[in-house]
Amino acid sequence: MFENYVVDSGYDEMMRGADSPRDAYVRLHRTLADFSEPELHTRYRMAQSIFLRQGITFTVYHDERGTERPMPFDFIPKIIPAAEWEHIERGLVQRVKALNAFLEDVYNDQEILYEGVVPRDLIVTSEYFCPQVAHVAIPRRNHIFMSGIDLIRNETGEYHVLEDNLRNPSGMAYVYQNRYVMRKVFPEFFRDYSVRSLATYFTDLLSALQQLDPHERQNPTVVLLTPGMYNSAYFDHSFLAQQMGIELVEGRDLVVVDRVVYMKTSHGLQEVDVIYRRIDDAFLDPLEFRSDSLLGVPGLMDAYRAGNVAIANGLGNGVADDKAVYAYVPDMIRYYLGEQPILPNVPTYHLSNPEEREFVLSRLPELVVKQTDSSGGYNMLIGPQAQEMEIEHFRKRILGAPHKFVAQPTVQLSKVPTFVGGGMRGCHVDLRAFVIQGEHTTVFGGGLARVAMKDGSLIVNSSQGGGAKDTWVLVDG
Amino acid sequence: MLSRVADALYWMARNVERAENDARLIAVQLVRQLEHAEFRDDMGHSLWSPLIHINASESLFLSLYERMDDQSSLEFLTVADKNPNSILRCVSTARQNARTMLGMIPSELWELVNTYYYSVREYENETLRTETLHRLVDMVKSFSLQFWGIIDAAMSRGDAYQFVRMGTFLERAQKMARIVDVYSQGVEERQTHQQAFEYHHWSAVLQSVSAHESYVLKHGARILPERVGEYLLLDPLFPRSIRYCLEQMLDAFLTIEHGEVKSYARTLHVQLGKLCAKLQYAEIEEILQQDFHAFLANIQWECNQVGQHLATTYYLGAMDAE
Repeated sequence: MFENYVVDSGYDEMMRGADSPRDAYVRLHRTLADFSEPELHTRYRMAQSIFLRQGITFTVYHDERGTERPMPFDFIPKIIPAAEWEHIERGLVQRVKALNAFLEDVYNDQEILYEGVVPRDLIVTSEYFCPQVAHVAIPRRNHIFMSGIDLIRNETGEYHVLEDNLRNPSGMAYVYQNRYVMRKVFPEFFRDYSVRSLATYFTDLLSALQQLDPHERQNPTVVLLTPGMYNSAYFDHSFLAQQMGIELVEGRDLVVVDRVVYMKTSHGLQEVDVIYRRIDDAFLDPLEFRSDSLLGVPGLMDAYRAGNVAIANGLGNGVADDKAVYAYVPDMIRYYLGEQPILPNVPTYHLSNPEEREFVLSRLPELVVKQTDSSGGYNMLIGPQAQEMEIEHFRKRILGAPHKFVAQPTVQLSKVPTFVGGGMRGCHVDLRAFVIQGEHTTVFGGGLARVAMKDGSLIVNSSQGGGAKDTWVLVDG
Repeated sequence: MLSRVADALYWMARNVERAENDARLIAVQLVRQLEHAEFRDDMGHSLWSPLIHINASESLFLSLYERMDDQSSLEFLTVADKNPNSILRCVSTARQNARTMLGMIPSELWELVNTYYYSVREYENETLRTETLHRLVDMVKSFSLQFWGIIDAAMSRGDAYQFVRMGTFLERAQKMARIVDVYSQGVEERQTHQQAFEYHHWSAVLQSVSAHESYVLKHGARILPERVGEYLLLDPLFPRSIRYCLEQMLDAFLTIEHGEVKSYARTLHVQLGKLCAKLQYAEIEEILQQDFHAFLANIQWECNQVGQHLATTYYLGAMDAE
């Protein structure tokens, strides 16, 4: 399969050269040599039909009949040797700890702002800053029950943090489904490997949620609040609820009476202790946020402030994960933990700073410019791939509202071979790692490797043609 | 359990049952169409009009099609998107219901209903020839059997299971009343070939509700209207008779209430209990002497009432009203 495989510039995670795989991939490379192209096609179709049957699909927009397609998926796993993973794990635990301390600080004493480590303006003017929860005693001071930290590797293979997702990171269900499908359709791949199992994490997830119960009951009622089946992450929501054994509720299933949250059951109202919400802050409670929200629960914030219900992840987390605040996370680690960051950031320029702005504007064709409040790979300028017109358009937007943008050097993302168009091609890849914070902080053993399947594309988001790969953390070696 | 989920379970089951009932009716008519061409309605109505009548959808049909011929009737009954009771729409609704409660039902059940939906969708663009229709109805019947197979083998007998039962049996009872009602009216109007017609007619009705074999086992190959009526309405053991279905409903209800009915559930209990008692002590000769149609109309009305009380008692569908 690798006869015509090209290893060009940048870091290839699997191949050192055209015909020499890296150590962790040697065994897989050997197994793959036994497969013919038609056989791989047949297996690939089997995998797709499993996704379709399970309803792991996305809806093609602008199609009245609601055509659904299976999620793009690739069968070459991203393999992470044990030692490499141990390093990543430590880095992630450190980072989430600091981010949690930051959120606790920002919504209470704001020491980090007084000391000027993080500029006050950046925080209090952020649209995600949520004064409604200032000084609310959060159970166990845990703001970040689950986070998704996006990691990339640069041209030397070194891991960097690209983005923190502290609000509603999605994708965990896909990690399980990818693994399930891989085991079923490509069992041969696992023959020579000992891969870390994904089986135990739901216990960690459930107990982390139960620990948030403000009433500290023996067996608290925990629910997952979803916007409903039309949400693009609905599969993720239903899967997590099912695996944890908690109720999957919609806003209309809940009601607040005398500052207590109840769910409406066939036998009347039942008190709810912990809500793992997968609805954005703005839609949670129409009485406090967007009044037109039909997804939320009127009075929920009131019940929350009264200490009658826990909400995970915490409200106002967006203040710590936008693209401008990102640049200060290494400072937060030093400030709160007195440690050096284990996983580096990608260098980031703030365009509100005149000197940095001037530097960036003079080098737009080399840089990546991102709008701080955007996600999903939208509103980005990728300098080296952009037309002159697009660059000029961005220049104007930056000058119009410089504080809304940051810039980064274009990182040559690492590649992993991917089966596209009947052959192997190196495609850019990133990794969403999940961190669960409970009594202990647990890093989910693996993660969602997302691959940019469009030719040469750097964007891995599924909304823009990205696919997923199984991620293997090796138990040994 | 969440009342929204109870509602979804109840409607998922009703829609799967509805699609299956329609498939059985179509399957029998397909054969009948060939065997008994001489009994074709003199009025030029197609053989499919009773089916549309059974679904109580005449006015909807007439608003969608200019004339009632084989093609339009069959499209309407099977894949029409604008008919909420077409097989496709029933399956699609059942799938929507299942999707809103992933995690509450066995994942195999979800995968089955999801696959079912895609399989029916494949008929959307096909010309509805007899052999195509046979394939479609066979598929629907077999999905329905698998549906029950998974429920029976994998679902815990808690409230969720009981709501599925209630949806299935209420739908089945109501549909049976409707089928017998529509088909018995056809007989009264007809004068010629009386005996031969009756025989074929009632054996077709038996087949339509998959009762033919078990009826013959019980009564022998004598297809007598009063025995057929008795079997379909009052038989205590035939799993599609109205009496059996309503007794199952009562049983499901009492299981949910752990055998002790509290005040909020009293109306439903009384309604169901009376209906079951009526069917237990009814005699077919008496029913036939009086107004058969009125009896069946009353059963349908009572079933509707049960459905409504069920909704109020367990807050089903309360969400949509808000």
